[in-house]
Amino acid sequence: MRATNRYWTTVAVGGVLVSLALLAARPVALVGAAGIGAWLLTTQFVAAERMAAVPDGVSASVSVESERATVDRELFVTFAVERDVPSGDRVEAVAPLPAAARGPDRGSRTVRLGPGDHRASTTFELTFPVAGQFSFPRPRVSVSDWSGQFEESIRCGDAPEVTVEPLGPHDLHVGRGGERATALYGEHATDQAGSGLIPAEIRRYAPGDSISRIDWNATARFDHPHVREFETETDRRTALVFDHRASMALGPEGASMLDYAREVALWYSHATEQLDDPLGLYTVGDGGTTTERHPSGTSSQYQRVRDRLYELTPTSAADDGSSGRVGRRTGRGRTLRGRLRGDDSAFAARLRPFFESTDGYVRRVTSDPLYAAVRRQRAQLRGTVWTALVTDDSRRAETLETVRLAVADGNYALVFLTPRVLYEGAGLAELEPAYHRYVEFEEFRRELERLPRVTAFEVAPNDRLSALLDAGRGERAEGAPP
Amino acid sequence: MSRSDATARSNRSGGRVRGTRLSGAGAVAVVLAFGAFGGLAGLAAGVAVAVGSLVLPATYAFAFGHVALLFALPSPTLRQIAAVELGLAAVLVSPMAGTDGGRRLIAATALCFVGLAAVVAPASLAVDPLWTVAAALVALVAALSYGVHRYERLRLGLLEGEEP
Repeated sequence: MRATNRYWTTVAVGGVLVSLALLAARPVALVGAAGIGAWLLTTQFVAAERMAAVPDGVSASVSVESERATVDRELFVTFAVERDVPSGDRVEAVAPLPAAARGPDRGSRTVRLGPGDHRASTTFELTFPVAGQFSFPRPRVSVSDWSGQFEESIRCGDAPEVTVEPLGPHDLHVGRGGERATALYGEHATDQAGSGLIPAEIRRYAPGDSISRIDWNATARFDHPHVREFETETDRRTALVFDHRASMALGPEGASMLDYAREVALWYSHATEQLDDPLGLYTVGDGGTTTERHPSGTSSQYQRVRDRLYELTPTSAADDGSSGRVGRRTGRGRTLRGRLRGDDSAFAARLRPFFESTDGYVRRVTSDPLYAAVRRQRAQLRGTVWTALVTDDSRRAETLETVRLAVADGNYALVFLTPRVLYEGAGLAELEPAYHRYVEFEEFRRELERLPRVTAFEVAPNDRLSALLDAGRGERAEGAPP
Repeated sequence: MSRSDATARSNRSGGRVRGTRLSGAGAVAVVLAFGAFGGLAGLAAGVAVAVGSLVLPATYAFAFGHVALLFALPSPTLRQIAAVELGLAAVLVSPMAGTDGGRRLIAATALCFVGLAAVVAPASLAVDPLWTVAAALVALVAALSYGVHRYERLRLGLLEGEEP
């Protein structure tokens, strides 16, 4: 229990009366000082009695709207103070703020219980400028007696924790046809035997084999020298091709297609780093390639790739510099079309429609920055390359051709696609058409997977995808065709 | 945005009314006592103290009443002092009427006041010089206050860790 300024002021008043008594030689002023002394003693005694019961009788609680928050997004906090039995004491408490939190001023966070009040609370907003885990300090409650001469401070109540996540997608779904993929990237072998760590097979010793490779247990068992083969593990050269054109801006702030695609790309960079696979980055904007970093396995490479991914924002569609770029195949297509026009055979009639559209199609594809980036990457990198393509489904023909190019010559491709229907603001307002658009997307994804050495995944907000799939199940249950 | 219990507050307002009545009764008693024993000057002093009891905290009004007593009644008798002190004491304890257990608190304060006054008044007549009585009063109040402080620590269980 602590004496307040009011107590010491009252003491001073008593001192003035004593001084007056001595100066004026009038004992009656001492009687007044005795009255002040009596007041001080009784209020002190009552306050001591009351304060001893404070720890059990007063409680404070901080409750947060959610234990998970997002950087720079409001989080509502309710701070309440309660006492078991209303009394004449005054209770005041200030809602504590976690380190790094930004909240209202002290006055807006203060809760007061006047004489006779039982409970009081206040609600305010907090924001966190940085991500991390933050604890609220335990609230400090100050109780002052009815006369305001004594006060006691105690800490009471729980201290909730809040996990603040960075702005971005938090319900990332990566999978196929609504099913979450369990393994996207892992250990890889070349399907070739040699020296390594993983046992593959035992075969008879042949001249030229190293003696150190003889498996003595197998030799004793088969009565002839045998050697053990191991699977040869290799480093997989990976080229991450990331689309950040204007179309990737679709979606709400912090949860756009680009944000989800970035999450996947970041995860992919970590996965390659864990397996020591050389990683390169090629980013594509509307005007062409914006980053070209060839595969490397140095530790700084992975970090640079991630730094670059964090920097990426959607480019402007006005940057499109594709006009007039006609590829080599355009000329071939025009030649073939000319030949077919002069041919009246059934074979030519059958082929003609395909080549009628080839000229514009190839022009469109070769002028596509994504296609151009992969073509340039393919020209510069020799040997087997795994291409991880992160893009959306707005240019399906171009994407299909780009993937074909990526897997040419025995190469591999992982395709991560963001379905536009799942990012459009009003796209899910009417579930039935949206579901049909998703089915079209899924057909496109399967078409990609039918290409050799291609694995294609959808990248989507989990909640929206679930809502859409539920709607689709409901539709199928009613007998409508999916 | 806050919410409070209004039902409990109505009891408090009743206490405040009792405190105001007690303060008013004390002020009237002071005016009457000053007027009866000090003439017009005493009446003026009494009115000033009564006004002071309305605008000042009770302890300040009580002290102001004693300053007025020094000037309005130069050589008061014991009966005159008792009459004025009765009114001033009512002003002093009036805020207690509004608290929980207010009557007991008023009784305890009054008892303590009477006890201290019973020590001071005879001592100031019998002992010379006066400062020794003043020092004794201050020492007595300080000792009692320290005793209450020790009692509080005992209640909170804070005495066990202290050196004997």
